[in-house]
Amino acid sequence: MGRVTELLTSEADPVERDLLRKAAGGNLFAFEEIVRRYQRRVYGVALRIVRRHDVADDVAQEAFIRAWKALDTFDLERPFGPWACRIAANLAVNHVRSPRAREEGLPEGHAEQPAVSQDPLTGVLDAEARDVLARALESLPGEQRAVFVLRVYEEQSYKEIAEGLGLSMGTVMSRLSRAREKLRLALAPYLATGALRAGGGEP
Amino acid sequence: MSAHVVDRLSEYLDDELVPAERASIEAHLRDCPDCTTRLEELAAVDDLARALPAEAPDGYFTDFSSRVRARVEAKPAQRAPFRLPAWTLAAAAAIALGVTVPALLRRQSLEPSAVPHAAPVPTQLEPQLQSRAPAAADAPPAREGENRAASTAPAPAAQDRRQRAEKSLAPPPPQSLAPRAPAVHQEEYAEPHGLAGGVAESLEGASSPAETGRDGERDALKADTDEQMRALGYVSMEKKAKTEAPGFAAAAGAAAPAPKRALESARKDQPTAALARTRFGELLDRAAPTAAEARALREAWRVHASLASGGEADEARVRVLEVGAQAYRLGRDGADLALLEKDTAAYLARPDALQAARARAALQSVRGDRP
Repeated sequence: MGRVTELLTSEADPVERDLLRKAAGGNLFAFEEIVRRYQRRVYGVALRIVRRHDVADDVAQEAFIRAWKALDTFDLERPFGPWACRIAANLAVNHVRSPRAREEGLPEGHAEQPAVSQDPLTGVLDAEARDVLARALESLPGEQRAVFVLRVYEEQSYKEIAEGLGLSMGTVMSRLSRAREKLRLALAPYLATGALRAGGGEP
Repeated sequence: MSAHVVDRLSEYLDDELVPAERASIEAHLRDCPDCTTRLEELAAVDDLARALPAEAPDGYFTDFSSRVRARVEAKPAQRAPFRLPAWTLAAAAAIALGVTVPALLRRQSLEPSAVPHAAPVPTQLEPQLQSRAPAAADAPPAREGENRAASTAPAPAAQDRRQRAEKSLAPPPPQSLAPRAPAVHQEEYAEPHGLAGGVAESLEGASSPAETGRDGERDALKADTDEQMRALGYVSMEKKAKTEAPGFAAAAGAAAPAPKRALESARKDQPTAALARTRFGELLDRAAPTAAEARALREAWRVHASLASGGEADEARVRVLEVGAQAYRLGRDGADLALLEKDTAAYLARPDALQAARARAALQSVRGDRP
C-alpha cells in the first residue's frame, strides 16, 4: 500500500474524510470505523519493528489512542493511514530501545516466520533466503528497522519519516542506507546467483 | 565503483535525489556494471522484504477496534469526547421546569390570590423548586448539576407514588425509557451506580401526576423490551459464558459480573437505557458460530439499537446488518437474506446513517455468496 494508492483512496475518499471530521468532533464510533480501516496496516508496521505479537498489539492500540487524542490537531485533508503508521513506528522504536525490550528478547518466531504463501514470488525465493532475511531484519538496530519499515512497506518519503520519527533527513537517509547494506550483505550468497532479482531496480 | 555513488544508491532507489544528483548517478551507472548490480541487489532486498508476511494470530482483528474504543472510553479525562453536552443539562433543566412550572401555574390559576395556603403540593416542595430553577437557568457544569439534582430529595408525594409502583410491580421496573437520554450520557462517565442514577430518580420523583399515564406506557414498553432481551440475548449469552470460559470471561473483564448477575443488578439499580449500555460491550464480545446464535445476536443488536442513541445506536444498527449477513452465511436461509436486504435498505435510508459503506459491504458480502 503505497503513497500513490493512499492519494487515490484515503485522501480523496469523502467517506473517510467525513468519518475523520466526525471523529475529530468527538464521535468515537466514527473513529472506531477509522480504526477498523487501518488496523492491519498499523499493526503490521508495529509488528515488523517490535517483532513480537503481544508488543505489537500494545503498540498498535496505543498508536490509535494517541491518534484519537491528537485528532483535533491533525489536518483532516491529509490521509490518516501514514500518520497513524508513523505514530506506531515511533512508539515501536521507543519500545525497542527500552530496557524492557532487551529483557524480553525475541519470540520463538511468530513474527515474519517464513511460511508457504500464495504470492507469486514463492517460486523465486527459496525458504532459506527468506529465513536469512528475516533474521537479518531482526538483527538490525530498532532505529534502522523503523526507518526501513516506513520506507519499504509504507513507501513514506524521507521527509515524512523524518517528521514522524523526529529525525533529520540526513539521519533517515543514512539509517536506511546502512540497513539496506546489511540486509544486502546477509543475502549476498542468494543474490549472487541472480535468482532473487525479482522486480526491477529502476525507480 | 565510486564510494560517492554507492552511498547514494539507496536514495536513488527511493527517488529522493534532486535532479542534478540523480542525473550524475545515472551517468555513472551507465559505465559501471558493479554499481548497477549493487542497485539491483538493493532493489531485490526490498522486494524480498516485502514478500515476508507479518501476520497476526487468527481472529486478532475481529475485536481490535472495539478494544481500542474501550480503552479510549476508559480514559475520558484527556479528551472527554462524550463530555456531557450542554443540551443535556438544558434538557434536564427543561424537564424539571416543565414539571414544576405548570404545577406552580396550576396552583396560581386555582388560587387567584396566589396565597400558598392549602396547597395541593406539599409545602416542602417549594424551596426545592426554587433551588432548582436557578440551576436550570445557569446551566452549571456537569458535575455540579448532577450533585445538585442528586441531592434534591424527591417530593414526598412522588416518592409515595414510586414506592407504590415498586410494590405493585415485580420485579421493580428500571426507571424510565424515553426521557432518559441525558442520563445515558451521564452514565458514560459517571460511576455505574452513582450520580446519574440519582439524577434519574430525582427527575422521576418530580414528575407530575399528568405524566402517570406515560409512565405506564413506558413501563409496558420496557417490560416488552426486557422480555425480548431475555428471549433473544441473555439465554445464549449465559450458555456462552459457561461454555467459553476463560476466554469469554477474560474478554468481558475480570471485574464484570456474570451476565445474569449483571442483568439482575442492572434491573435493580439502573435505568433501562443504562442496562442497554451495559450490554453493548458484552454484545461486542459475542461470537455467533451457528445461524441460530447469529439470529439471536442480530435481534439482540436490534433491541440495543432501539434503546441506545447517537453513535452507539448507529453502531448497533450496523451490527444488525453484519450479524444478519453472518446468519445467512451460516444458515443459507432465504428469510435471513430477505431480512438483511430490508434492514440494509432501512439503514441506508436513515439521514443519520454514519456507516453506509460498512452497511453496503455487509449486504455485498452475502450477495456474492448467493447460491
